[in-house]
Amino acid sequence: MFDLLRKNRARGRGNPRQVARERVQSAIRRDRMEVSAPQLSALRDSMLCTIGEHLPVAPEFTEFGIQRDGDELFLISRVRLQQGH
Amino acid sequence: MSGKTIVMTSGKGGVGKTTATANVGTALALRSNRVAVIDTDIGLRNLDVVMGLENRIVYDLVDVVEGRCRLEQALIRDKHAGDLYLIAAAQTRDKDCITTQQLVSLCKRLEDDFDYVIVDCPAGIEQGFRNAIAAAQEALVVTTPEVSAIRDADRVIGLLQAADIREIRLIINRINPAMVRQGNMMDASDVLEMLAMDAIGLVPADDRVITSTNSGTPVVYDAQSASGREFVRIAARIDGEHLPLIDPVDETPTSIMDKVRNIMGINRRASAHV
Repeated sequence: MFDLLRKNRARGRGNPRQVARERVQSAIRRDRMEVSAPQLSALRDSMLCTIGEHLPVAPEFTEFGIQRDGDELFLISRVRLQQGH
Repeated sequence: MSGKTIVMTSGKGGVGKTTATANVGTALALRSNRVAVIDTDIGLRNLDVVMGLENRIVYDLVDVVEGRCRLEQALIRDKHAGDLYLIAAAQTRDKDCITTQQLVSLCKRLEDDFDYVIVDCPAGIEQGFRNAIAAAQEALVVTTPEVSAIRDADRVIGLLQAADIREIRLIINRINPAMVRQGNMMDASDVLEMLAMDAIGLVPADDRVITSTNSGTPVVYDAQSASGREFVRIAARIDGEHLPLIDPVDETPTSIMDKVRNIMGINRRASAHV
């Protein structure tokens, strides 16, 4: 009986178990998506190399990074092509 | 003899890693295994206190690896279980004073003479952690059903996998059945689902752990302790027995008669499961 009352009360204020679950899932998702600096650097080099096979790129003007928007993670790159192309 | 090195780790401190090491080590020794437990928490040693051996330490882990004593001199025999030995951490040095290679070679030497070498890992993921996991073939990750502990366990599991430790199992500690029933705590299935790992033990929150630590006698000697019984089952599972996992939420008495039976030591549900 008391358990039932407690459960109802817990439900009313947002079930703590559910809140905890969602917070852990969100934290783990973010942690697992964390991209380290060496990884990012390797990725940048690979991308420039691949694009360079098709277009002349100017690597010194390249912007490359990770942006977060809520739970979503975006790889942002802005590659400048060499003049005259 | 070619024993096995198992690291007990967690990432987060204060989840019961040292208590789990003492109890699993003791329970394995009570199953007629030769067991060595190593405290690698240099500077903050506690395994000796939990095992009630703090007054017997002459030489420690750093003394062995730096050659100031023989290995046999640093192995402290347990008071209760005959074939259980402790190598204590140094209290006055820091975690960087031993190298990964030194700890690996020590564990290899111990594996020749013991069935199980259990390494109690320091909290965190720095050098002390890297040393502790280097020699292990298996890892037991201790966590509690709390947000920060689960998050850290996930991080540690990733690092263990990156270190090529394939056998990783979870001990979910301090499950509070009443809080789970009330919807105030995550249950074992929540934790297992989020970490995508198999559990080797589900340990209930238990005041008897505090009294056992106070007296320096591991809780596996207390037949009335629900957590002690689970540590005994964890040791059996490590030793290759196929015992089903018992969720403390199912094992804990809910009716008044169940509670009376429990107080009198007639625990029908627990005995029916094992």
